[in-house]
Amino acid sequence: MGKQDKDVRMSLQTLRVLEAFLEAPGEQLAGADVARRGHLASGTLYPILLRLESAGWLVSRWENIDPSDAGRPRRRLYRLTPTGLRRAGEVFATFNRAPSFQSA
Amino acid sequence: MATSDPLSTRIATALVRHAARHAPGELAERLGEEWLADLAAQAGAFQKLRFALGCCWARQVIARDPLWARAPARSVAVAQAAAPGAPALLDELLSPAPSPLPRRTLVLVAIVALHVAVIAAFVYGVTVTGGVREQGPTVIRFLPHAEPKDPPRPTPAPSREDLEKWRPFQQVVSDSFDLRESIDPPGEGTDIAPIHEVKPTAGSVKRVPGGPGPGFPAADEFYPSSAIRMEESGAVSVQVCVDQRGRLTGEPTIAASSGSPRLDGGALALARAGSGHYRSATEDGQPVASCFPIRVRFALRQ
Repeated sequence: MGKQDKDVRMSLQTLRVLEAFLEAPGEQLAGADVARRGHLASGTLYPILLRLESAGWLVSRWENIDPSDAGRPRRRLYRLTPTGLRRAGEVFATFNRAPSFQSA
Repeated sequence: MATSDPLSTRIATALVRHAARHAPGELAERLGEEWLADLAAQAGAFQKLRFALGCCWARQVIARDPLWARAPARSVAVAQAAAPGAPALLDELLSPAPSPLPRRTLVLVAIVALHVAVIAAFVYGVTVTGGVREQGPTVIRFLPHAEPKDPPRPTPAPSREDLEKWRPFQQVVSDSFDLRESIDPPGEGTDIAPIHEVKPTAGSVKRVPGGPGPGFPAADEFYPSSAIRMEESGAVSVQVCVDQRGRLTGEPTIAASSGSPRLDGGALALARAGSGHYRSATEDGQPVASCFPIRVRFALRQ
Protein backbone atom coordinates (compact mmCIF):
# COMPACT_ATOMS: atom_id res chain seq x y z
CA MET A 1 0.00 0.00 0.00
CA GLY A 2 1.30 3.46 -0.86
CA LYS A 3 1.64 6.33 1.51
CA GLN A 4 -1.62 7.84 0.39
CA ASP A 5 -3.49 4.61 1.10
CA LYS A 6 -2.55 4.87 4.75
CA ASP A 7 -4.73 7.96 4.99
CA VAL A 8 -7.87 6.06 4.02
CA ARG A 9 -9.32 4.56 7.14
CA MET A 10 -11.80 1.86 6.19
CA SER A 11 -14.99 2.20 8.15
CA LEU A 12 -18.49 1.02 7.39
CA GLN A 13 -19.38 4.55 6.30
CA THR A 14 -16.37 4.70 3.95
CA LEU A 15 -17.48 1.42 2.41
CA ARG A 16 -20.93 2.89 1.82
CA VAL A 17 -19.39 5.88 0.08
CA LEU A 18 -17.31 3.62 -2.16
CA GLU A 19 -20.35 1.49 -2.86
CA ALA A 20 -22.29 4.56 -4.00
CA PHE A 21 -19.56 5.36 -6.54
CA LEU A 22 -19.10 1.76 -7.64
CA GLU A 23 -22.73 1.52 -8.72
CA ALA A 24 -21.75 3.62 -11.73
CA PRO A 25 -17.98 4.09 -11.73
CA GLY A 26 -17.92 6.72 -14.47
CA GLU A 27 -20.70 8.79 -12.99
CA GLN A 28 -20.07 12.10 -11.23
CA LEU A 29 -21.91 12.55 -7.98
CA ALA A 30 -22.53 15.51 -5.69
CA GLY A 31 -22.30 15.10 -1.96
CA ALA A 32 -26.08 15.09 -1.65
CA ASP A 33 -26.28 12.23 -4.17
CA VAL A 34 -23.73 10.16 -2.26
CA ALA A 35 -25.54 10.83 1.02
CA ARG A 36 -28.82 9.63 -0.46
CA ARG A 37 -27.34 6.48 -2.00
CA GLY A 38 -25.27 5.54 1.00
CA HIS A 39 -27.75 6.65 3.67
CA LEU A 40 -25.12 8.85 5.26
CA ALA A 41 -25.41 12.05 7.28
CA SER A 42 -23.57 15.17 6.19
CA GLY A 43 -21.46 15.15 9.34
CA THR A 44 -20.04 11.78 8.32
CA LEU A 45 -19.97 12.16 4.56
CA TYR A 46 -17.87 15.23 3.83
CA PRO A 47 -14.83 14.27 5.93
CA ILE A 48 -14.82 10.93 4.09
CA LEU A 49 -15.05 12.60 0.67
CA LEU A 50 -12.17 14.91 1.52
CA ARG A 51 -10.11 12.03 2.85
CA LEU A 52 -10.69 9.95 -0.29
CA GLU A 53 -9.90 12.93 -2.49
CA SER A 54 -6.65 13.67 -0.68
CA ALA A 55 -5.69 10.00 -1.04
CA GLY A 56 -6.28 10.17 -4.78
CA TRP A 57 -9.26 7.82 -4.86
CA LEU A 58 -11.65 10.61 -5.85
CA VAL A 59 -11.33 13.72 -7.93
CA SER A 60 -13.72 16.66 -7.75
CA ARG A 61 -14.62 19.67 -9.81
CA TRP A 62 -17.26 22.38 -9.90
CA GLU A 63 -20.38 21.76 -11.94
CA ASN A 64 -20.19 23.56 -15.27
CA ILE A 65 -23.40 25.58 -15.08
CA ASP A 66 -24.43 29.17 -14.69
CA PRO A 67 -26.24 29.41 -11.33
CA SER A 68 -28.38 32.29 -12.51
CA ASP A 69 -29.57 30.32 -15.52
CA ALA A 70 -29.98 27.07 -13.62
CA GLY A 71 -31.72 28.75 -10.71
CA ARG A 72 -29.57 26.95 -8.16
CA PRO A 73 -26.00 27.02 -6.89
CA ARG A 74 -23.37 25.02 -8.75
CA ARG A 75 -22.52 21.71 -7.06
CA ARG A 76 -19.20 20.05 -6.31
CA LEU A 77 -19.08 16.81 -8.28
CA TYR A 78 -16.94 13.82 -7.31
CA ARG A 79 -15.77 10.91 -9.46
CA LEU A 80 -13.70 7.78 -8.87
CA THR A 81 -10.17 7.86 -10.26
CA PRO A 82 -8.64 4.76 -11.84
CA THR A 83 -6.64 4.31 -8.64
CA GLY A 84 -9.77 4.67 -6.55
CA LEU A 85 -11.66 2.19 -8.71
CA ARG A 86 -8.89 -0.38 -8.38
CA ARG A 87 -8.38 0.14 -4.66
CA ALA A 88 -12.10 0.02 -3.94
CA GLY A 89 -12.33 -3.32 -5.70
CA GLU A 90 -9.40 -4.60 -3.64
CA VAL A 91 -11.03 -3.43 -0.42
CA PHE A 92 -14.25 -5.27 -1.12
CA ALA A 93 -12.29 -8.35 -2.14
CA THR A 94 -10.43 -8.16 1.17
CA PHE A 95 -13.70 -8.25 3.06
CA ASN A 96 -14.63 -11.25 0.92
CA ARG A 97 -17.90 -9.72 -0.16
CA ALA A 98 -19.21 -7.99 -3.21
CA PRO A 99 -21.01 -4.65 -2.96
CA SER A 100 -24.70 -5.27 -2.45
CA PHE A 101 -25.65 -4.22 -5.94
CA GLN A 102 -23.35 -6.87 -7.39
CA SER A 103 -24.94 -9.81 -5.54
CA ALA A 104 -24.92 -12.87 -7.71
CA MET B 1 -31.92 33.57 -0.90
CA ALA B 2 -35.09 35.58 -0.54
CA THR B 3 -36.39 36.94 2.74
CA SER B 4 -39.54 35.01 2.03
CA ASP B 5 -37.73 31.72 2.62
CA PRO B 6 -38.92 29.82 5.65
CA LEU B 7 -37.20 30.53 8.92
CA SER B 8 -35.87 27.01 9.05
CA THR B 9 -34.12 27.49 5.69
CA ARG B 10 -32.55 30.73 6.82
CA ILE B 11 -31.37 29.15 10.04
CA ALA B 12 -29.91 26.20 8.16
CA THR B 13 -28.15 28.52 5.74
CA ALA B 14 -26.69 30.56 8.58
CA LEU B 15 -25.45 27.39 10.29
CA VAL B 16 -23.80 26.16 7.09
CA ARG B 17 -22.12 29.50 6.47
CA HIS B 18 -20.86 29.59 10.04
CA ALA B 19 -19.50 26.04 9.82
CA ALA B 20 -17.74 26.68 6.53
CA ARG B 21 -16.34 29.98 7.73
CA HIS B 22 -14.37 28.14 10.39
CA ALA B 23 -13.15 25.31 8.21
CA PRO B 24 -9.38 24.93 7.84
CA GLY B 25 -7.53 27.18 5.44
CA GLU B 26 -8.31 26.91 1.80
CA LEU B 27 -11.24 24.57 2.39
CA ALA B 28 -13.44 27.27 3.89
CA GLU B 29 -14.53 28.92 0.65
CA ARG B 30 -14.94 25.66 -1.23
CA LEU B 31 -16.90 23.91 1.52
CA GLY B 32 -19.14 26.93 1.97
CA GLU B 33 -20.21 26.93 -1.66
CA GLU B 34 -20.41 23.13 -1.81
CA TRP B 35 -22.49 22.79 1.34
CA LEU B 36 -24.88 25.56 0.37
CA ALA B 37 -25.46 23.87 -3.00
CA ASP B 38 -26.12 20.51 -1.32
CA LEU B 39 -28.33 22.25 1.26
CA ALA B 40 -30.50 23.52 -1.58
CA ALA B 41 -31.00 19.91 -2.67
CA GLN B 42 -32.46 18.93 0.71
CA ALA B 43 -36.24 18.64 0.77
CA GLY B 44 -38.09 19.71 3.87
CA ALA B 45 -37.26 21.84 6.87
CA PHE B 46 -36.17 18.90 9.01
CA GLN B 47 -33.72 17.62 6.36
CA LYS B 48 -32.24 21.09 5.90
CA LEU B 49 -31.65 21.58 9.62
CA ARG B 50 -30.23 18.09 10.01
CA PHE B 51 -27.93 18.69 7.04
CA ALA B 52 -26.77 22.03 8.47
CA LEU B 53 -26.04 20.56 11.91
CA GLY B 54 -24.15 17.77 10.18
CA CYS B 55 -21.99 20.32 8.40
CA CYS B 56 -21.16 21.87 11.77
CA TRP B 57 -20.03 18.46 12.97
CA ALA B 58 -18.14 17.79 9.73
CA ARG B 59 -16.26 21.05 10.14
CA GLN B 60 -14.97 19.94 13.52
CA VAL B 61 -13.98 16.49 12.22
CA ILE B 62 -12.14 18.05 9.29
CA ALA B 63 -10.40 20.54 11.55
CA ARG B 64 -9.09 17.72 13.75
CA ASP B 65 -7.91 15.66 10.78
CA PRO B 66 -4.09 15.73 10.55
CA LEU B 67 -4.45 16.25 6.81
CA TRP B 68 -5.95 19.68 7.37
CA ALA B 69 -4.96 20.52 10.92
CA ARG B 70 -1.91 22.43 9.75
CA ALA B 71 -3.99 25.02 7.87
CA PRO B 72 -5.43 27.60 10.26
CA ALA B 73 -9.07 28.40 9.93
CA ARG B 74 -9.85 31.80 8.63
CA SER B 75 -13.12 33.57 8.32
CA VAL B 76 -14.12 33.78 4.70
CA ALA B 77 -17.23 35.56 3.73
CA VAL B 78 -19.34 33.12 1.79
CA ALA B 79 -21.03 35.35 -0.74
CA GLN B 80 -23.07 32.65 -2.40
CA ALA B 81 -26.73 32.54 -1.41
CA ALA B 82 -26.39 35.26 1.16
CA ALA B 83 -29.28 35.34 3.56
CA PRO B 84 -30.08 39.01 4.17
CA GLY B 85 -33.17 37.98 6.05
CA ALA B 86 -31.31 35.92 8.62
CA PRO B 87 -31.99 37.14 12.11
CA ALA B 88 -29.37 39.64 13.16
CA LEU B 89 -29.29 38.16 16.62
CA LEU B 90 -28.49 34.72 15.21
CA ASP B 91 -25.73 36.18 13.06
CA GLU B 92 -24.26 37.87 16.09
CA LEU B 93 -24.46 34.70 18.12
CA LEU B 94 -22.74 32.73 15.39
CA SER B 95 -19.89 35.20 15.05
CA PRO B 96 -16.62 33.91 16.42
CA ALA B 97 -16.22 35.02 19.97
CA PRO B 98 -13.00 35.02 21.94
CA SER B 99 -14.04 32.14 24.11
CA PRO B 100 -11.82 29.48 25.59
CA LEU B 101 -14.54 26.94 24.83
CA PRO B 102 -15.67 27.56 21.21
CA ARG B 103 -17.07 24.06 20.84
CA ARG B 104 -19.40 24.53 23.76
CA THR B 105 -20.61 27.83 22.39
CA LEU B 106 -21.21 26.32 18.98
CA VAL B 107 -23.15 23.41 20.41
CA LEU B 108 -25.24 25.74 22.56
CA VAL B 109 -26.04 27.93 19.56
CA ALA B 110 -26.93 24.90 17.49
CA ILE B 111 -29.29 23.63 20.19
CA VAL B 112 -30.95 27.03 20.50
CA ALA B 113 -31.28 27.26 16.72
CA LEU B 114 -32.83 23.81 16.53
CA HIS B 115 -35.37 24.68 19.20
CA VAL B 116 -36.24 27.91 17.40
CA ALA B 117 -36.67 26.00 14.15
CA VAL B 118 -38.93 23.39 15.75
CA ILE B 119 -41.08 26.09 17.37
CA ALA B 120 -41.24 27.93 14.06
CA ALA B 121 -42.28 24.73 12.35
CA PHE B 122 -45.20 24.40 14.73
CA VAL B 123 -46.11 28.06 14.30
CA TYR B 124 -45.91 28.10 10.52
CA GLY B 125 -47.21 24.57 10.11
CA VAL B 126 -44.20 23.14 8.26
CA THR B 127 -44.70 19.58 7.23
CA VAL B 128 -41.86 17.30 8.26
CA THR B 129 -40.99 14.59 5.81
CA GLY B 130 -38.53 12.27 7.42
CA GLY B 131 -36.13 9.76 5.99
CA VAL B 132 -33.79 9.71 3.05
CA ARG B 133 -35.63 6.87 1.40
CA GLU B 134 -38.24 8.14 -1.01
CA GLN B 135 -40.36 5.03 -1.14
CA GLY B 136 -42.72 3.84 1.55
CA PRO B 137 -41.94 1.20 4.13
CA THR B 138 -41.42 -2.32 2.97
CA VAL B 139 -43.82 -5.05 3.73
CA ILE B 140 -42.25 -8.26 4.89
CA ARG B 141 -44.28 -11.15 6.11
CA PHE B 142 -43.11 -14.46 7.38
CA LEU B 143 -45.19 -17.26 5.98
CA PRO B 144 -44.29 -20.53 7.65
CA HIS B 145 -44.66 -23.50 5.46
CA ALA B 146 -47.28 -26.14 6.08
CA GLU B 147 -46.62 -28.36 9.02
CA PRO B 148 -44.14 -31.03 8.02
CA LYS B 149 -44.93 -34.70 8.01
CA ASP B 150 -45.00 -36.57 11.26
CA PRO B 151 -41.46 -37.30 12.37
CA PRO B 152 -40.38 -40.92 12.66
CA ARG B 153 -41.27 -42.51 15.93
CA PRO B 154 -38.39 -42.88 18.36
CA THR B 155 -36.77 -46.26 18.50
CA PRO B 156 -38.32 -48.12 21.44
CA ALA B 157 -36.06 -49.11 24.27
CA PRO B 158 -34.93 -52.77 24.13
CA SER B 159 -37.13 -55.15 26.00
CA ARG B 160 -35.87 -57.58 28.58
CA GLU B 161 -36.18 -60.35 26.01
CA ASP B 162 -33.87 -58.51 23.63
CA LEU B 163 -31.31 -58.01 26.34
CA GLU B 164 -31.45 -61.68 27.15
CA LYS B 165 -30.48 -62.39 23.57
CA TRP B 166 -27.31 -60.39 23.94
CA ARG B 167 -26.30 -61.66 27.31
CA PRO B 168 -24.34 -64.58 25.89
CA PHE B 169 -22.46 -62.13 23.66
CA GLN B 170 -21.52 -60.02 26.64
CA GLN B 171 -20.29 -63.09 28.38
CA VAL B 172 -18.23 -64.01 25.36
CA VAL B 173 -16.66 -60.60 25.37
CA SER B 174 -15.90 -60.91 29.05
CA ASP B 175 -14.34 -64.30 28.65
CA SER B 176 -12.32 -63.30 25.62
CA PHE B 177 -10.83 -60.28 27.21
CA ASP B 178 -10.76 -61.66 30.70
CA LEU B 179 -12.71 -58.70 31.95
CA ARG B 180 -15.17 -60.71 33.92
CA GLU B 181 -14.41 -58.80 37.03
CA SER B 182 -15.07 -55.44 35.49
CA ILE B 183 -17.87 -56.30 33.13
CA ASP B 184 -20.80 -57.99 34.73
CA PRO B 185 -23.98 -58.69 32.91
CA PRO B 186 -26.76 -56.56 34.17
CA GLY B 187 -28.66 -57.86 37.13
CA GLU B 188 -25.86 -59.95 38.59
CA GLY B 189 -24.73 -58.12 41.63
CA THR B 190 -23.78 -54.84 39.92
CA ASP B 191 -24.75 -51.29 40.70
CA ILE B 192 -26.58 -51.00 37.46
CA ALA B 193 -30.19 -50.38 38.11
CA PRO B 194 -32.59 -52.99 36.78
CA ILE B 195 -33.88 -52.26 33.40
CA HIS B 196 -37.44 -51.20 33.33
CA GLU B 197 -39.28 -52.23 30.30
CA VAL B 198 -40.11 -49.14 28.30
CA LYS B 199 -43.12 -49.29 26.16
CA PRO B 200 -42.90 -47.41 22.88
CA THR B 201 -45.09 -44.34 22.75
CA ALA B 202 -48.40 -44.93 21.19
CA GLY B 203 -49.72 -42.50 18.65
CA SER B 204 -47.99 -39.54 17.01
CA VAL B 205 -45.74 -37.04 18.78
CA LYS B 206 -47.17 -33.56 19.19
CA ARG B 207 -44.85 -31.42 17.11
CA VAL B 208 -44.83 -27.66 16.74
CA PRO B 209 -42.62 -26.32 13.94
CA GLY B 210 -40.09 -23.59 14.57
CA GLY B 211 -39.93 -20.11 13.13
CA PRO B 212 -38.86 -16.54 13.85
CA GLY B 213 -39.15 -15.80 17.55
CA PRO B 214 -39.05 -12.76 19.87
CA GLY B 215 -36.23 -10.39 19.11
CA PHE B 216 -35.95 -11.48 15.50
CA PRO B 217 -34.23 -8.60 13.65
CA ALA B 218 -36.30 -6.05 11.82
CA ALA B 219 -36.46 -7.01 8.21
CA ASP B 220 -36.53 -3.46 6.81
CA GLU B 221 -32.78 -3.13 7.12
CA PHE B 222 -32.23 -6.21 4.97
CA TYR B 223 -34.19 -5.02 1.96
CA PRO B 224 -31.20 -4.30 -0.34
CA SER B 225 -31.05 -0.68 -1.41
CA SER B 226 -30.08 -1.79 -4.91
CA ALA B 227 -33.25 -3.89 -5.13
CA ILE B 228 -35.34 -0.95 -3.94
CA ARG B 229 -33.82 1.29 -6.57
CA MET B 230 -34.60 -1.34 -9.20
CA GLU B 231 -38.10 -1.67 -7.70
CA GLU B 232 -37.66 -5.40 -7.20
CA SER B 233 -40.05 -7.33 -5.01
CA GLY B 234 -40.70 -10.99 -4.41
CA ALA B 235 -40.67 -13.86 -1.94
CA VAL B 236 -37.72 -15.97 -0.93
CA SER B 237 -37.84 -19.28 0.92
CA VAL B 238 -34.78 -19.82 3.11
CA GLN B 239 -33.97 -23.16 4.77
CA VAL B 240 -32.51 -22.77 8.26
CA CYS B 241 -31.38 -25.33 10.84
CA VAL B 242 -31.50 -24.25 14.47
CA ASP B 243 -30.76 -25.92 17.78
CA GLN B 244 -32.92 -25.99 20.89
CA ARG B 245 -31.87 -22.46 21.76
CA GLY B 246 -32.86 -21.02 18.44
CA ARG B 247 -29.31 -20.64 17.17
CA LEU B 248 -28.27 -21.52 13.65
CA THR B 249 -26.34 -24.75 13.35
CA GLY B 250 -25.42 -24.24 9.73
CA GLU B 251 -25.40 -21.77 6.90
CA PRO B 252 -28.88 -20.84 5.65
CA THR B 253 -29.60 -21.87 2.10
CA ILE B 254 -32.06 -20.77 -0.55
CA ALA B 255 -34.94 -23.23 -0.83
CA ALA B 256 -36.94 -21.22 -3.36
CA SER B 257 -35.42 -18.21 -5.08
CA SER B 258 -37.27 -14.98 -5.75
CA GLY B 259 -35.56 -14.74 -9.11
CA SER B 260 -33.53 -11.77 -7.93
CA PRO B 261 -30.02 -12.40 -6.57
CA ARG B 262 -30.27 -9.18 -4.59
CA LEU B 263 -33.46 -10.21 -2.81
CA ASP B 264 -32.06 -13.69 -2.21
CA GLY B 265 -28.96 -12.14 -0.66
CA GLY B 266 -31.08 -9.92 1.56
CA ALA B 267 -33.14 -12.87 2.78
CA LEU B 268 -29.97 -14.88 3.55
CA ALA B 269 -28.52 -11.96 5.48
CA LEU B 270 -31.74 -11.66 7.47
CA ALA B 271 -31.70 -15.39 8.21
CA ARG B 272 -28.09 -15.20 9.46
CA ALA B 273 -28.81 -12.17 11.60
CA GLY B 274 -31.70 -13.99 13.26
CA SER B 275 -29.44 -16.60 14.87
CA GLY B 276 -30.31 -16.84 18.53
CA HIS B 277 -33.78 -15.39 17.95
CA TYR B 278 -35.48 -18.31 16.30
CA ARG B 279 -38.25 -20.20 18.03
CA SER B 280 -37.09 -23.82 18.02
CA ALA B 281 -39.43 -26.63 17.10
CA THR B 282 -40.93 -28.59 19.96
CA GLU B 283 -41.96 -32.20 20.39
CA ASP B 284 -44.41 -32.75 23.18
CA GLY B 285 -43.47 -29.35 24.50
CA GLN B 286 -39.74 -29.99 24.51
CA PRO B 287 -37.52 -27.87 22.24
CA VAL B 288 -35.62 -29.86 19.65
CA ALA B 289 -33.13 -29.06 16.95
CA SER B 290 -34.70 -28.95 13.57
CA CYS B 291 -34.57 -27.53 10.10
CA PHE B 292 -37.40 -25.57 8.59
CA PRO B 293 -37.99 -23.04 5.88
CA ILE B 294 -38.89 -19.42 6.45
CA ARG B 295 -40.50 -17.41 3.72
CA VAL B 296 -39.52 -13.78 3.39
CA ARG B 297 -41.51 -11.47 1.17
CA PHE B 298 -40.07 -8.15 0.01
CA ALA B 299 -42.66 -5.74 -1.30
CA LEU B 300 -42.67 -2.05 -1.96
CA ARG B 301 -45.62 -0.15 -0.71
CA GLN B 302 -46.59 2.53 -3.24
